[in-house]
Amino acid sequence: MSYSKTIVLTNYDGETFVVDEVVAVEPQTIEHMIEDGCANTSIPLPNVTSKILSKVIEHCKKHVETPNSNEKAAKADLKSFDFDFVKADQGTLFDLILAMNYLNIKELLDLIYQTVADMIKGKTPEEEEEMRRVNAWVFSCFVGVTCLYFKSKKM
Amino acid sequence: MDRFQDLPHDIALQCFIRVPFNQFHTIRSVCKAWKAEVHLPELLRLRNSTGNAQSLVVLSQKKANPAGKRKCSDVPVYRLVVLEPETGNWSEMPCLPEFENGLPLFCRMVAVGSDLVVMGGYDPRTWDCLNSVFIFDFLSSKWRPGADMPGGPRSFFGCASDGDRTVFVAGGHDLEKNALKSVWAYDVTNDNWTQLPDMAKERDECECLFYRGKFHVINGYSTNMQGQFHQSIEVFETSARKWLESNGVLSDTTHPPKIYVEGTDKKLYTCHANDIVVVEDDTWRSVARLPDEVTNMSYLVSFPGHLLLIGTPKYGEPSNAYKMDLNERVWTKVHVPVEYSGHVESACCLII
Repeated sequence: MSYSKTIVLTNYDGETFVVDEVVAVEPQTIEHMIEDGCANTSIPLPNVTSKILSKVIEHCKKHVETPNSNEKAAKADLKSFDFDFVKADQGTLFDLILAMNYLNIKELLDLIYQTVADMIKGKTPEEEEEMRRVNAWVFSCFVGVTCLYFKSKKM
Repeated sequence: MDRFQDLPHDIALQCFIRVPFNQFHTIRSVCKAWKAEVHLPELLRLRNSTGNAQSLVVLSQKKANPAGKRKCSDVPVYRLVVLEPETGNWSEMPCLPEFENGLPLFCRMVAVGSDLVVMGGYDPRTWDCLNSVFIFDFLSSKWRPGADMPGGPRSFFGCASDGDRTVFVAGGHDLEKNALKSVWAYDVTNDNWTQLPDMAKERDECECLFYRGKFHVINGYSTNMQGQFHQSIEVFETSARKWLESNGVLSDTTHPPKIYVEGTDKKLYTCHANDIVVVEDDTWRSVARLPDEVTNMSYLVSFPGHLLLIGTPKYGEPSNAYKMDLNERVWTKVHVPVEYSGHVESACCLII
């Protein structure tokens, strides 16, 4: 099997993304597609929008480019990158989860699951303060901050 | 969170297994579908298999008296406390319904799956002997009453859980201080009691445990031998529903009453003199010396890969806690904040 240097990904909106193969094989789904020889022209990713796909590519790139060493600085850099990466609004996170699940990027999936879990279990103090402000009229209730937040969203 | 409610089941589950046990009520409060997800057996299974499960040691612990307010006549106030031995987090559990001023004294408690079952004891207001059963479901963080213990009021009985859904209650004494031979099984899921065949001996203040899948009743004393413990053991085979002759090493130990625990390595541990001892090749062998700060042991409890020991340096002093890795057999001190340093009456462990 011969590998090309770059891979073309076609997303939901029909846009094409040209990425290095080392980056493209980060998601297992794409790796398998390449292995199965489906990558002659371009890889169709009909479930992923361009906004999400560019985010995913950005993440894969960063992880490929960061040297795989035990160096503290590199690790910390990657960690802060991941931290910023999941600082997204709920809609984006939701789409990211579905895309990650489809593309099967184990590391990123774990990160996002944990992010949602953290959202369920509570917020950072700044965020809680913000919620308190927004939901001042219901906040006096004894029910947890977060569940009020969820409920107020539904109203 | 409204969008997240639309997450496919398996993805939502992946998120939920990463939520700490004390936030399950938040998941439940989001929507009906999520409320149901929390109670799926799959959630606990997955938490276990992915290393996200948390060990919770529940302690019945005396509330520390505010300094300078102690009177000799004060009835001690006990409450339920949760220690997460892996992280060292301590928290107080919600009060037992109708017992806001303190847990029934000398009540027994066992863990059954994600439920904590609290049985019997004495009403701290009236000193009435209770036959009540209360169940705390850690998935919903709620108490519910269970069917009363049958066979009349009984105190100082032994009890143990098969870890799955049944609690076994054996021995103890009735209102006239008659030691009892009778044994009952409580099915937590179906909320019903079944009487089992009597034991051969009366056993007041007996110790009970599940060891190698069998219900063991250890030591105790008869009505006419008050306080003089006999060293004997009866073993109940649950599948055959009959009592077996005991054999061997378990009845060798001296100075009852004791606390026996089955470690997650399936070995039997107890505390003897100043040592933790284990049954290996049918004899008791010393495993580790007790740390000085806990030589007056209050309770020994098993959690995955470890034993947790709570005790004091001397009688009446504040409690300390140590955990021992079963492989390394080394002690690590667990920090005990002052407000959680009261005397520990009993303890059990749940995996959530």
